[in-house]
Amino acid sequence: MKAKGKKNIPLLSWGFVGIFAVIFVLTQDYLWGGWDSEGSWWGFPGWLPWFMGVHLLFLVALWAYNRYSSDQY
Amino acid sequence: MVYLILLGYIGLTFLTSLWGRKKMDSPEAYFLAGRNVKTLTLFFTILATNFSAFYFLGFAGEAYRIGYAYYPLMAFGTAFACLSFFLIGTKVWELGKAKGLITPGELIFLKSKSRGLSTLYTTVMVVFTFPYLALQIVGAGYIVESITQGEVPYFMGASLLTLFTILYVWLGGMQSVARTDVKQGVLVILLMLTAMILVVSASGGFEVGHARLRDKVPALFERAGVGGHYSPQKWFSFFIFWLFCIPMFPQLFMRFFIAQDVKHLRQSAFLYALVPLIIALFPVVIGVFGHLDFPGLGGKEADQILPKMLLLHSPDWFAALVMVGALAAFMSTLDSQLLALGTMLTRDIYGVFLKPDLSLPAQVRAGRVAVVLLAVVGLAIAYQPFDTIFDMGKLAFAGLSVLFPLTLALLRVGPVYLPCAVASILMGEGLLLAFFYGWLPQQWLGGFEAFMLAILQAFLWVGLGLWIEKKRGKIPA
Repeated sequence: MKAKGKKNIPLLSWGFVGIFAVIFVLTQDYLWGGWDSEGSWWGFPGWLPWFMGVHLLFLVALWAYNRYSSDQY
Repeated sequence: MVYLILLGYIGLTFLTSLWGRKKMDSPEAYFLAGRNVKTLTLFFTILATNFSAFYFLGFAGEAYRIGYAYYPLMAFGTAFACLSFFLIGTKVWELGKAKGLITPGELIFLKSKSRGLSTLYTTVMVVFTFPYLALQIVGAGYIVESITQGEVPYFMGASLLTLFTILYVWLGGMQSVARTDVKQGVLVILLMLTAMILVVSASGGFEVGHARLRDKVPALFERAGVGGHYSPQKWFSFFIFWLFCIPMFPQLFMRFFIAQDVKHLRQSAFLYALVPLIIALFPVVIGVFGHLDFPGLGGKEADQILPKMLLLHSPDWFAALVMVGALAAFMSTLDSQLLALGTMLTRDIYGVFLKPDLSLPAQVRAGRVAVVLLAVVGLAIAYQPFDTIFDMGKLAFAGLSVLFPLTLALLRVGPVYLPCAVASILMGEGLLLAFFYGWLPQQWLGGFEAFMLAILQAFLWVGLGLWIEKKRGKIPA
């Protein structure tokens, strides 16, 4: 039985490795200082939207990578 | 009413699992649903398999103890793990389809040509998954006892649900497991959303509830968590951990084989990254809001914060329904673990060492028997769970993550010099056990978790093994 596809899926390109690494670093927020726990929308802690934003950024990068890797087939 | 909901759920699950069931006389049909699973089913079966009852009880309990800092760790940490679906999953799917592979052990044998290494790999997967499997049975027993208020004793509940799970896995294999996972996944998400809305509404809404919480326990809102729980080392360790751990769960690894096409695997990986952003918040909010009505809970009591809040703020029937959702989560993990380990024992151990000439229908029969045997052993452990079983569940995750570097190298780079490959696994597991049992001092870790050291040394061994093979001309420059 032969796998459907034209060629092997390549390892993440270095560009995407860099993008995902930067996004990961953005979650390590202690590197550039602390947050206060003041409230933001609906009283959630102020730092919570930051992590939600980073998560959304990750989704955008993943969506782009998904398109990129599908082009490899 | 509770019994009606419980029986209704069991009946519905059973019918769903068998609806449209096809004849299964080949291992691919029984163990891998004929490699014909599409995006949504694949996504839900991965989600339901991975979000065990820990999502119901553990998330809320940890949020009660740690505060909102627990949310990004679980939401982003889980989502980030989906990169391994691309790194490892797509290659597993490709080779599985091309070579007719069914188990992780077969894949390792294909890439390493070493029966010893593939058997070691299978053994580690089975041994480290087993405590987690037994925990599902233990948890199911406690929940049945809790929702029937002790009328169905712990072990009877555990036994009945295990028997029921065996029955639908026996009859339907992966096809039934995947189908029930879709229903269980949808149920889990909807119930938790409703539960969060009920709890927050009863507490005066988000703004009012949060204002009251800031007065009572301001540390719940701190970025490092209550009592500075997350040091930078701990924060880093747990953010990266799931990337290495999740694909190494055998029940998840085998999900990579079942996709109809790699496109479906990629799409389900994207959904897997998207959904935790939303659903991780539900139990965390309930756990944090628990301080308003049940302040000062500690230890195991904190893990009961979700049922406590539901019983206080929602009708009894809804609380029972949510706990049935937790049962669904237990079962969707248990059924996948039973099937995955049963498949591995049949194909990688029994079919290799004891009965190499096993016919295809005989493999299916042997797989079913293995599922029953595993469930019986799990039940035996659950009869009187030993004290450290919960800690061993956590150790199991770390033990599986040690396999990641070797798997990645074999799939994406090339052969790894055999002694280095074996050392990466044995040294990693040895280090974990040494720190777990206190044979090595925790101070050596410099604040990081033991699994970080185990994974790091595995990467170093694997790197050395690749370098040696390159020098020997086994890997093209």
